[in-house]
Amino acid sequence: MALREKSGGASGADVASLLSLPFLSDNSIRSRQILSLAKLLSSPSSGESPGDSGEFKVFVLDALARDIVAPLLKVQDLRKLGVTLHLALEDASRQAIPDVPAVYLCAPTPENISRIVNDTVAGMYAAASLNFTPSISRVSMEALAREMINGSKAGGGTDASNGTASGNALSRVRSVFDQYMSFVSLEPNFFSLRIPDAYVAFNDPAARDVDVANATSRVVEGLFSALATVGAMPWCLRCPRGGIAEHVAGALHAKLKDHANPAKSTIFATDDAARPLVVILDRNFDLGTALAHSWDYQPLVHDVLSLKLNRVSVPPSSGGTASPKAAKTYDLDRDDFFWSTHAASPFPKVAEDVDVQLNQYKRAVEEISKQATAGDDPSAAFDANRSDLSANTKKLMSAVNSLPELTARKRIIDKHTNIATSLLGSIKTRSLDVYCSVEAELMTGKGDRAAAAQLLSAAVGGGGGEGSLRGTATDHLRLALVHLLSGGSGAGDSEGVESSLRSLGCDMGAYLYAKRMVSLNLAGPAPGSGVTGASAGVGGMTARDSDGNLLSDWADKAFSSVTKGVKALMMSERRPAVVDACEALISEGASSSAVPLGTAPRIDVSNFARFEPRGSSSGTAPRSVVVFMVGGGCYAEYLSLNAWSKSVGVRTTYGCTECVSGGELAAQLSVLGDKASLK
Amino acid sequence: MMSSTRDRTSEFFSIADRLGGSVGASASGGGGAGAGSGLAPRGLSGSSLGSSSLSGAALSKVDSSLFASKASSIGMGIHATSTKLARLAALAKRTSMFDDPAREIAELTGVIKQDIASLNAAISDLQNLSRGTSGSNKQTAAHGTTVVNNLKTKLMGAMKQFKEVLTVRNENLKVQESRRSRFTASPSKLPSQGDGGVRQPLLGAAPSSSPLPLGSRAPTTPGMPPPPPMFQSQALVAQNSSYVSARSEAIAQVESTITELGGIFSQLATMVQEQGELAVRIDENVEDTLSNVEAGQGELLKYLDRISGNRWLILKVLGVVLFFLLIFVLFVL
Repeated sequence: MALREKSGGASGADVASLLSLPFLSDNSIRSRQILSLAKLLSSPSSGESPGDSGEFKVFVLDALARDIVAPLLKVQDLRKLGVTLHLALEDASRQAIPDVPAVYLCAPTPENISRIVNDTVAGMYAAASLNFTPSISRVSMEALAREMINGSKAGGGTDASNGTASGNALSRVRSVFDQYMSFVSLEPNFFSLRIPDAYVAFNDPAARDVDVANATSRVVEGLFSALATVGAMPWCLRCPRGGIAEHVAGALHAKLKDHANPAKSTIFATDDAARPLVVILDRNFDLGTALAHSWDYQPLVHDVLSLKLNRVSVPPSSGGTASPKAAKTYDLDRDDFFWSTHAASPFPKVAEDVDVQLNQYKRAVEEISKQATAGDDPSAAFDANRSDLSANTKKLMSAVNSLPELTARKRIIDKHTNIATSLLGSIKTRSLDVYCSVEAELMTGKGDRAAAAQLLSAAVGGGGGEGSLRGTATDHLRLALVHLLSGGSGAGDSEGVESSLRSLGCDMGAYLYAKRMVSLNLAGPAPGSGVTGASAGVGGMTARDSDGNLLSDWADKAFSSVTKGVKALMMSERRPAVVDACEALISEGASSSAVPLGTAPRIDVSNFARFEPRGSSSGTAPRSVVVFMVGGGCYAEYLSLNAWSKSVGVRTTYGCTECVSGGELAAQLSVLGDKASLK
Repeated sequence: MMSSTRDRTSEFFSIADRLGGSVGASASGGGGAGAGSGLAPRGLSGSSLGSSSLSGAALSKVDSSLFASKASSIGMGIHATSTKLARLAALAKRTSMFDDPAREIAELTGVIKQDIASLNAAISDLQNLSRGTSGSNKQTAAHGTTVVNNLKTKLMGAMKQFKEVLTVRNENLKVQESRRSRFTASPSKLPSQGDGGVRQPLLGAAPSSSPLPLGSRAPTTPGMPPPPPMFQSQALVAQNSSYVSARSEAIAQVESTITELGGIFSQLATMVQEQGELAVRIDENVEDTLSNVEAGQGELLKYLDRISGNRWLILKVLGVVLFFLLIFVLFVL
């Protein structure tokens, strides 16, 4: 074990320097996945140092694998790892490249297996390293071997007479690996299983047992992959009793138990310190957070511009240019210094900092041009002696060297300027600022519920008027849903909202479905119900003036935290239930040892179910938490968890079946409402 | 750390064996390694780092994969060159004037220069080869181009490093020279010259250039008779001039190397223009394909619309004709 740790670390450092990604040593789930990818791409014979090998290869991926690799490694990185071409496994028009080995990465579906068999039998590539994203079952492996043998017997008769192995498909198989990789790392501590419409799949009242079982097994497969990549057997699994989460947790528990014995399975390290607490939650646990509008940069980009696989496409500005251009796509990932520092910042701060960065850039350019002209100044150069001349040359050289870096900087700043402009346009036309503030107040339980209802009914009168809500039908619906969910089951003020929604022409399915859930008390803890004490003093401030363009106003209020302490308090109070649950579970685990916690846990976790895959755990507090949200997660929760984990010193990893924006979740609710024939 | 994989190669081959596939002798034995050891059970990986000499790798391959073996040998050559470069860099960083490793540096520089020239030639050779054989299919050609470009980029990196090292060396030489000239300007501080000064033809250990420690050492050897002043100064002048010329020669050599490199640089740079701009994601073209497919589907739908429109028209015309026929039959007959 120690030996393997050591060699793994060395290769990690190698990969980090090779790809010039210094963050790879941070041990996050994304870094680990990148290292796994680099390892599977480094040729097995060269062993120690991937990339130094002179071997070139082609990389054949299926759709999911492509989604996995795309946010992690760019084409350039793949080149550095020796990959010359990346090909789609589904692509039937792939051509033979006979003297190159191929590395396959795909799910072990029957179609993929038959495609691999066809490739190897036809001798498309010199050799094949097979890597499966989840593990390949014994049955599938037998099918793979059998088809290969049959294929070579049928097609390789003539080749066999050559005395070479070129006709034998089996001889081309270089290795077969389970990679446990069927999840997409979007952020350092954020992964998504990319299972679309999972909320519908798990909550559909008309779903057949088979469908639910399939969905569960996919989730468990992906979650197991993620845990294997984290590399440590969980201390225990915790989840609310009697729901989808418990169902998933039970299945995962059974799967983990198979690998619990370190003698039999080497997937999980035996290192006790790294063992995480796994919290599995259901989206119903906290619907409101996912539905609400958010004011932070990353959730806002996700919501408004539908950030997908860390890539966003910004529609061309309508008013500006004369020639209509196609939408621009931007990557928002680790290479983007601005994104990585500002993903969690509220939008006004982002807009401010874009400006600051732009000015910095301009200053740097001026500096360089000044230097360059000083170096070029003929009289100075003539008068100066040799050492001065060489110093000037050196300056010029450094200026030239820093130019590419500056251009890259400029490109990033331009990108964010465009994004921010586009966001600002949406905020104005949809008055997202109003939604954000009203919903935030509602969810902390301090909001004026009547005022929110009033806002909706005022919107019925028609947009455009001063103080009325603009925005799309989905925006209205989301506000209404948050209003409903924050009220708890006893709230009687929903009729007005409902009638306003009807007259606004919203799809009522979602609302009625949510209403039924609330009445059945399924939709999780009513936010704000547990908030006491701290909020007592600020009860009077919630009467919100809802006049026209609030952007600058709002920014002032939110960020001069000293003068407007109330607002700051409100922002800090608005914590998703996920974070509360984690805090409660961690502090419960740390019965004796001290984890610095500010307040008493707000969520009662004593009735959470507990699974312990490897016997009972000791009393020490787990130092890492994996939170998994069945039915869709959102960036807002990820950011809050991240902030929380930094303050507490516990590493958290957040995962979900898919990353849904509020609009998408509302759409899924509508589908459910239709299925339940609520109109 | 990298434990999140499971090697199932051996399992696969044992299944294949059981199912009657004749894999060859090496299959069952080679696959028996444990998880994570990362060795290749197949004997196919001849093109990888197995052998270290250029010719060895080339000989081990058959004609069909000439390209692959050449490419991999070039890759290995570049790797070997960069290890040499690392050594050179370590040598060049030494600023001490007493044990200036001039001969080693000169040798290494020569070797690396030769290496780079031959690698450059080999790459253009490879390029021709890939152009010549690329008639077979597009993806093979794309593979070939990428390989060539990749090697070029690597060579480019090595050369950049080389140039940097040489620049450092040049700086060091200049600094040494300036220090030397500063101290040897006054002939009163004559060093007692042993045989160390003429040991090395090119640059010498140059103890004469730092008189302070030597000057302090001179009084500690009282037994030594001082040489006649005339002879001393003459020897110094002669030695100085030879030393200076050697120095300037070395500098000129380094500078000429840098210029040469600059030439190769620009030649390569034209070839590797877009390599740096490859910040492309692998799903890029997939989206293009998707939009193309969607556009195609849209066109088909339009066509379907038109066809069904036509069909409806035919039916209507037919109906009208039938109607008139009916009227004709009813009223005329």
